[in-house]
Formats: sequence, C-alpha cells, structure tokens
Amino acid sequence: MYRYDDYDHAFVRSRSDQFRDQVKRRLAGELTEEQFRPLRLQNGLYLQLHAYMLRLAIPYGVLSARQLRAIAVIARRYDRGYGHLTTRQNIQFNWIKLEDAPDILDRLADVEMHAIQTSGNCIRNVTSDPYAGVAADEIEDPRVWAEALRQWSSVHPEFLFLPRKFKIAITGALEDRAAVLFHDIGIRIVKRRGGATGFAILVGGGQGRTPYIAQELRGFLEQRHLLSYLEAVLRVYNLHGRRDNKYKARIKILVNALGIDEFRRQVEAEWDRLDKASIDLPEAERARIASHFAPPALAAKPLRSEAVARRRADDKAFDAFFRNNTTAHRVAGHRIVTIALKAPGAVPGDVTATQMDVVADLAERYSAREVRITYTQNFVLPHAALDDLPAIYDTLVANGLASNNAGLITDIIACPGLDYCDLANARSIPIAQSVSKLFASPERVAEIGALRLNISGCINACGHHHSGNIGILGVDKKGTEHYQITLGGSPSDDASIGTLLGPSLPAEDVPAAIEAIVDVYLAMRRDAGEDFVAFYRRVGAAPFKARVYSGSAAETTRALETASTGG
Amino acid sequence: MPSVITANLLRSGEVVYLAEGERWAPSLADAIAAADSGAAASLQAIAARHVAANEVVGAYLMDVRIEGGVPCPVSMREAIRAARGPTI
Repeated sequence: MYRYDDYDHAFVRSRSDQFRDQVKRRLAGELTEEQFRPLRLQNGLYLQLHAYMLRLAIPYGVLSARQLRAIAVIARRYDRGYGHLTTRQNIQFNWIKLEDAPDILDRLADVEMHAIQTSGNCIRNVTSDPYAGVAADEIEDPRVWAEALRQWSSVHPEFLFLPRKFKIAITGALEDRAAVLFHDIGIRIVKRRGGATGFAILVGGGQGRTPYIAQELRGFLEQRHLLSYLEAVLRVYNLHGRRDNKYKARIKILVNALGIDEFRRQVEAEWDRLDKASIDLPEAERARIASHFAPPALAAKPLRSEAVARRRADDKAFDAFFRNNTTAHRVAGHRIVTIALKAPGAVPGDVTATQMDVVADLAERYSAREVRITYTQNFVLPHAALDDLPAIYDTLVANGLASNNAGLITDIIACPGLDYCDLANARSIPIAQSVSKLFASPERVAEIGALRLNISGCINACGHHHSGNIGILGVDKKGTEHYQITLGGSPSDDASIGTLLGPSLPAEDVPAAIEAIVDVYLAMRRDAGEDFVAFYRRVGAAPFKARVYSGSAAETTRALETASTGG
Repeated sequence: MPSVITANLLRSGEVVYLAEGERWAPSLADAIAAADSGAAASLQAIAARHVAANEVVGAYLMDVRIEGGVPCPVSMREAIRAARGPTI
C-alpha cells in the first residue's frame, strides 16, 4: 500500500501543528466558535449531540494492520473503546474532547493518517472498490489513481471552498462495488477494443434530498489526462454551482439543470483551455505511486483445500461464512474475506478496540498486513489463503466477528441516526437492530438471498436508503419518529433509486412491514434466481402495498393521514 | 411551554443545562426552567455571556415539561441528549 514520502509526512505534520495552535487559540478565547468551526471541520471534527465526533480519513478504504492498531489505541484512550465504520469507508469516533483532538491527530500522523477533508465543502476522501488489487474481475488496480486523486485534491487551492461537498469514487472492476453511479464523479476503468485502458467518467450522481444517478460525461478518457479533466469538471462546477441555496448546491443539480450535453460542452471547452501538462500526473510519478501497490508475493495454491471442504461439510455456519463472506481472489488458492459487523442486534459498523486489534492480528498473520473497509460498513481481509480460512473463522467466532451474512438482508447499512447525529430526525440503529433480530434465522436469510437493506435517519441519506433494495428513511412527524419505506433501489451497475411505497410508519410497525415485503417477494418470485430488484421491476409496488397497508396499525396511520390532509 | 437553556461545553463537547447560580449542570433535572418568554429571554442573555466567554457552544432554548417539579425533555432528540448517550 501507499507509504508517505518526506513531503507527505511534512505536510500532515504541519497540518496537525496548525490545528494544535488553532485549538489552543480557541480554548484561550482568541477565536470565536464562528471563526473556529470551519477550521475544525476541515480536520474532520464535528460537534454532535453528545460530544465532538472525529472522522478519520481512510484513503479508499485501505488500512495497514499497524494503522488499525493505532486506531484501536485512540478508541481506548480518547473514546469509549469503540469506533464506527462509515458508509464512505472511513472510521469515526463519537466521544472526542476538543482538547484531545490535537494529540489524536499527532497519533494519526505517526501512522501516516489524518482527518483532513473528511468534512466541509471540499473534495472528500476518495472511495473505491474494497476488493481493489485482488478482485478476479478487475481490469486494473484503481488504487493507483485513487491515491493520485487523493494527493491532487488534498488542499487543492481552487477546490477548498466549493459550493458544496464533493465525492469521488473509482473502480477498476467489471462489477461495481463502489456505487460509482451515486457519486458526484464516478470513475470506471475501462478497456478499449485493442487493449488500451482508460476511464469512463460519470457525473452528477448522489443521494440526499434530491437523488440522481450519474450520467456519462465521457465514455473514454486517456489515463494520463485524468487530473486535468477532473480539474475542468470541478472548475465548471465551482463557477456555476449554486451557492445561494445549500439544497441545490451539489453538482448533480447543476448537471441536471444544464443537461448533460451542455455540461459536457462547458467541461470540454474548459479542458481545451487548460495547460494539461502542468496538471496531469507525470508518468514517473504515476510509476512511483504504482510501485506502492505491487501485489504481495502470494504463491498460487491448489484451488481445493481439504481442510475447508471438510469443515464446510461438518459446520453449517462455516459453510455459510464461506459462501457469503468469501470471494474469489485473483491468486489461485486464496479468498477475499469479509468480516461483517452485522450480528443480530448489533449496531451496523460499530467495532470495539479489542475487535480492531483482532482484525489487525488476523491481517498481520493471514492477509499481508492489509485490511479494507467497505461502504457497507464491514472489514475485508483481502489476501487470505484458502487453507487458513478455518483458523481465521475460529478467531472471528471467538471475538464476536463471525457474522456470516455478508450481502444478505441482515447486512444492513445504517447511519448513526438520532442516537448520535445532530442532523438526524429519527433513530436508525434501533430499527437496524429490530430488523436484524427479526431475520436472525440463518435458514430464512439464506432463502431470501442477496438483498440490500439500508437505513437513514434523515434525508441527507448517509445510510444510502435511496439505493437500498429496501430503503428505510426516518422522518419526524409531529414530534414522533416515523419511517418511510422505499423499494427497488440498487447501488450497482443497474443503479436505481427506490420508490416510496406509501405513508410513513411508526417505529413499532417497521419490522412487520419489512417482514410483509419479504413474504411477498418469497411467495411470488419466479425462483431463487430472481433477485429482489428484478422482482420489483417486474411486479411493481402493488402487491407490496396491499400487504403492508392492509388491516395493520399501519393502515390506521394511513387512514389518519388521509383524514388529516383532507385527501 | 416552559423552557430551559442547553449547550455543549466547549472543551469536552458534553451536554449541559443552565442551572442556578449561572452554573452549567450535566443533568436536565438541575436546569432552571423559564415559565414565560420574559424569563426565557433573561436565561438567553446569561447563556450569551457564557458563549462569549467561550465556556459553552451552541446554546439554545429547548421546550420542557415539568414533572414532579423537574424539567423533562419533550422531543426524542432532547431525551437522547439528556440521557447523555444513545438509546441502544
């Protein structure tokens, strides 16, 4: 993985020193909160309901075992012994004191990490495929370009005060595991007939209060021009993006107001004017970065492991873990292992310091010292030898980490919601807990098959509810928490935005509604091969509506709503 | 509806309430409740001084219910803040 050079070290240290001085001046009363707030946000420090929250940047979700251990130390010493994996492959802490923040940033700098640009109206941490560099379906490793983008966008003087935040995702694989179509800019590495690789550039996707799927800005961009082309996109956005209305300030609004063709014309005109050579990544620098991502020396091994075959035959839970939580690796005899933080009743994405140390140990021993974070709030061990899977699994079991449901209905994405977040309207975590307990039976979950269920506690959609096959959105209805359900969303190549099923439900009716939705799907799908989105596209909302809103407390709610709106 | 002043301590971010003696107390039960808008305005004036003195941040007036003589939260958000931690 990428290692800081002297320049990177000096830069991160100097930022950390700057922030120490800013905190000192704030505590001494030399800076007002109004003056200080943008400074702390630029360093990832929010003030939430109970305390300050610090969001660490995990560049494209890649961590070393050493870094994860340092994060565990921070969790123990400065937080309450746990952290939270976010839906942008970052880690955040909920219980930080302002006076401790400078020491935490120093500890991060010691292990080549920081919290820069994890908040604010700037280019945020670039996200990527959690299987980057190891996936069997990969065209090229996207981390090289993700790292180049990280360096280009870090304190880029033109793009620190954009109209609104800006999120970039890049994937190099055939299957989209980075939700690139839901980003301000999505980048796909593509191969042209004849063999040259380049980028497809997608623009204007996003969730939030106005969800859009990204549109293709350019089908093929030569690799060497990535930075200058993105600079042109950002310039057009920076100039024309709306600054008068926060809710209309994202690039998706601009792209859709202008139309993709006019937006493209403006970008191309800007790109023509740019001195590309002064912006684009020099080949020598690309090669330097790429050298950090050389694959670890893994020896190819037999495709079949007797130990794994025996254990799968004898142990149903291990077999489910193998099927759901491990994926083909590009080196024979290896698997990519997902450590799902999604046991029944668990808080999605929460991980204790002890568990962090366990994952770091496993990475050191079995996965070339590397860990990944997924936007679905799980860890990944990218390089596990097939023969080591039983030992890895046993360690996970012993530490409450062997949830064998990756990609299934209980592998829920949920934002922190009103339990922690200052923006939330309703709680997300208790809903996730009740749904995961409802589907605690492994047989039932296996029967349902792959299904993405996402929960957000407000319209900002950090829990990606728009792209959930089943999405749940918390709303405040006359002072009580209610939940809207959307169906048919998808984050992948067939990206779609879920549609609202009907009136919102009180929290206590949500589990029964989800159960009803799943019952309809199981009873009416053609076969187990028809996934939830395909089924929903075929049958529409009607059977779900009939089932969810029939004769339950929910129907009463609907009747009341109809009455109160006079409709 | 009666109201109290809440804020977060600047140094720690901890949730606090304006209590007797211009003190910031961690417990909502210790908060001074203003019965009317005049009383609320005086509490706000005190809070503004403490914000200016960089003791607390984000001070605001919140509605409460008086139960058994002590202020209790009305909204879920304030119930969660008053409990000083998540509901889970």
